[in-house]
Amino acid sequence: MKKEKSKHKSIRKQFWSQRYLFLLLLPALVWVVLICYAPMTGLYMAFINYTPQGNGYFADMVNSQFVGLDWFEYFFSTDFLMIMRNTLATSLLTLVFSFPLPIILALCLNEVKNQRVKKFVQTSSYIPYFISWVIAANIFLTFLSADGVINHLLQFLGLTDQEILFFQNGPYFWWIIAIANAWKVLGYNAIIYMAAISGISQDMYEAADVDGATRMQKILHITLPALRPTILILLILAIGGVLNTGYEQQLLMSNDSILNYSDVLDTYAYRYGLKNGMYSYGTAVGLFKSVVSFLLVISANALSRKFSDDNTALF
Amino acid sequence: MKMKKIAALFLSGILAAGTLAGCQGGQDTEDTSSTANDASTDGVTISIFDKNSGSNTFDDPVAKAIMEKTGINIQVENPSGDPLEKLNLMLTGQNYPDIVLMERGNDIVNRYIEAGALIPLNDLIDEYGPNVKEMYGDVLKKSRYSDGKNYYLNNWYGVDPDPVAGVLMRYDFLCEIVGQERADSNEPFTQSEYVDICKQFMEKHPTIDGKESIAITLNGEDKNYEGTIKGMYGLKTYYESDSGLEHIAKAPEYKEMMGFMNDLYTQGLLDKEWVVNKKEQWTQKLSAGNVFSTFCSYWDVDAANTSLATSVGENAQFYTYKVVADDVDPSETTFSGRSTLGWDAIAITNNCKNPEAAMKLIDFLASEEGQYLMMWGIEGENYDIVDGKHVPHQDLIDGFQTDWDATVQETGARKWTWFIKNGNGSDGTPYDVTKYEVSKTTQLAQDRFGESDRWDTSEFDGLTPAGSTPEGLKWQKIEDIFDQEFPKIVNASSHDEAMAEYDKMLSDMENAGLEEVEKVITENYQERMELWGE
Repeated sequence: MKKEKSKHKSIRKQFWSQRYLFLLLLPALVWVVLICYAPMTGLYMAFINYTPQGNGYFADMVNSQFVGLDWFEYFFSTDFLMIMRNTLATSLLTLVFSFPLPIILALCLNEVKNQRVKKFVQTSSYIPYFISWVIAANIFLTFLSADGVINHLLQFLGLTDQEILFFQNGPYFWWIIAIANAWKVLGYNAIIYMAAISGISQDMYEAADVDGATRMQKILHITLPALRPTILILLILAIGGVLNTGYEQQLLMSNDSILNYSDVLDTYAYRYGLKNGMYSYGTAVGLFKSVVSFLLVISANALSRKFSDDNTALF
Repeated sequence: MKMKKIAALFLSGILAAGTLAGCQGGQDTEDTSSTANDASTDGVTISIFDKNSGSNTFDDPVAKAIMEKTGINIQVENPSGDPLEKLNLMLTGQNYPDIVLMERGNDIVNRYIEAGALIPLNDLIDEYGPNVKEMYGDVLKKSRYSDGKNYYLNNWYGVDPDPVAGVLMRYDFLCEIVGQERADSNEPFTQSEYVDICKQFMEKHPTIDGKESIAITLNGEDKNYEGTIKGMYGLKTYYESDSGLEHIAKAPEYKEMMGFMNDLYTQGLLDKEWVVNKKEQWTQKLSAGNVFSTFCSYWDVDAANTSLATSVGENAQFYTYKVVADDVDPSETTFSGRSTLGWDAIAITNNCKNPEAAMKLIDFLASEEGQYLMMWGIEGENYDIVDGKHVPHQDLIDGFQTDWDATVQETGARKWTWFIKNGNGSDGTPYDVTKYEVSKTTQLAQDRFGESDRWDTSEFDGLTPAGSTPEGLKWQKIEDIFDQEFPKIVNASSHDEAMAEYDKMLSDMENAGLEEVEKVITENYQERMELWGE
């Protein structure tokens, strides 16, 4: 009893002694509540049939008809399977390309001893990250058109005699999006790994040199293990974002003939919710996505805690 | 020392401005509180969302003249991105401006009305809108909401004699194939003649400038080919059967039309990538010089024509032609679908603090004076009145024909198009200055498409179920099915396959709940007819 009381007191004491630090924390806390949590009250829209009646946003929410899980039911009974298939196919393919490639690029760049070449490669692989999707989409549309560079190349190499209509074949679209995504983030993510690599102590490499380790052995036994925490954290984040396939690329590159392959959760929610004013339905689809993403992050985190001895879990 | 002085001057300047603004503000409130009957418009600020305004700023000569004449300070809010998205967002947040301009045929108008976001205009028109009454006439009656009140005013209303859709063909190639006399004549082509011409084009020019030639390409993004192919077969918005309005795809002519489109594809006349074409790619293809024909409105190819005229030659332009489906009489085509109720709806919202002033502004803009100001520019600068008639300056006409955008930005004429009426003013000159002396492409379209092609779309606009209803969701699903299946039918490898795909589309749409949706559409239609019949 006595022990508990003293503990209680010590928390209060601790708080008081750190009161200025907490004061410094306050603005960030207010920001998080206002920007991240307050808008979440709008999620209630997913359970009602929100119809604006001109009495203010909150009054309309209260007055709108409560429909329970009707929107979810409609979603699961109609387009759910198709949309999930497209979303998962696009993002898993994206993960396959865009997760290992930056690590490989960073490892390779680290071995380049000519600083000029290194800088040049690093910068040029970084540039696509800054190109807007509008431009990137047009580049892909042009390259992959019937008389585009890719088709000419394939015909020149004799791999195909009829031009391939890349944008009229559903599953191709998943690959195109995956490759486009990887191309865009490759350089950016490589920089994170480069930074982690530069933090590895040179002593280890020198010790390995003395032991007569080859370059490959140094990469496998020093650099990669040292990168493991970074890789794991980025993997957790990537898995949490599996349902975030982006939507600009789909909106800009898709067309009617492959809509049943290009429509992902985000474009679907956008088309219904914002373009057709079905606010509640759009919110329901969005909420479903958030819940699944949340569960994915939690489980990826738990797995990482379980399978790694050092403390690599995010939380 | 000098710096200090400047700083002091600067500060006192700001202070003075602040004080003046304060006085101004005080006056404002006084104005609005004065009796409604002579509500002064001086110094009132009215904000307007215009879905068509792009990134225009309200600072040109016409804009200044409008503010000067009415004494109202106007702030224009531009749509950043998709206007429909912004309108939806403004509605949920209820932060729409005083006046909103939106697409009339879209469900968004009903959503705004149902949300109580728009105020009824009838009393305001009675009191402050003599010009509105005179100019709009019967249009006001037809634009009433189901409760019998007017919630918006139309933009681009009245009968518009201008044709719309057609089959566009390159004049130089057509002359080569059928001779100049036939290419110049206004006689319609039959569908088989047209297909034959396309085939001859492909035989004569398998490649142009080293590129494979394309007989027909389309804009797959905007689907502006729809008006043409439906026009050829005399189709309108819905299929009118005994049981009411049904989806247009159910019409027997529609099935034939799909067969025709599929034939074009299987015969290698239609661009293999038509469905991938965004507007930019489509224009690029047309401008490249290896395309013979396309389906759209005659003005959609202006940019391509301009570039072809300089790169290939004056005759290498796309001109519009009437092509009639084989079993259809030339008098039954429906190429020129136009709404007499206009493209846009302009409404005063319940956020407007001073609806009287807003209506006064509207009344001025809707009047003949306002119409000529917005469409023709400033008298003396852009046009003169000769013998009581409006006569535009030659540089204004030339400007619109050579560099439209620059002319609009420079003069302000035709930059703000609000409450615009089609047709002619009281002196016989058109309200739209660009119709005063029409371009060759417009003249050709007017000669080739006649009275019989014209039909009023307003009966059928905006009948689809509201977004917040279960039928609304189903309608969206049906639209998705239709959008996806259309290219599949066109691109099917054989006629039989295309027809099988067509049947599949119909059954898919039925399964998605088409019957219930059609019931709502028919009910809405009957309701409207009753309202109009009153």
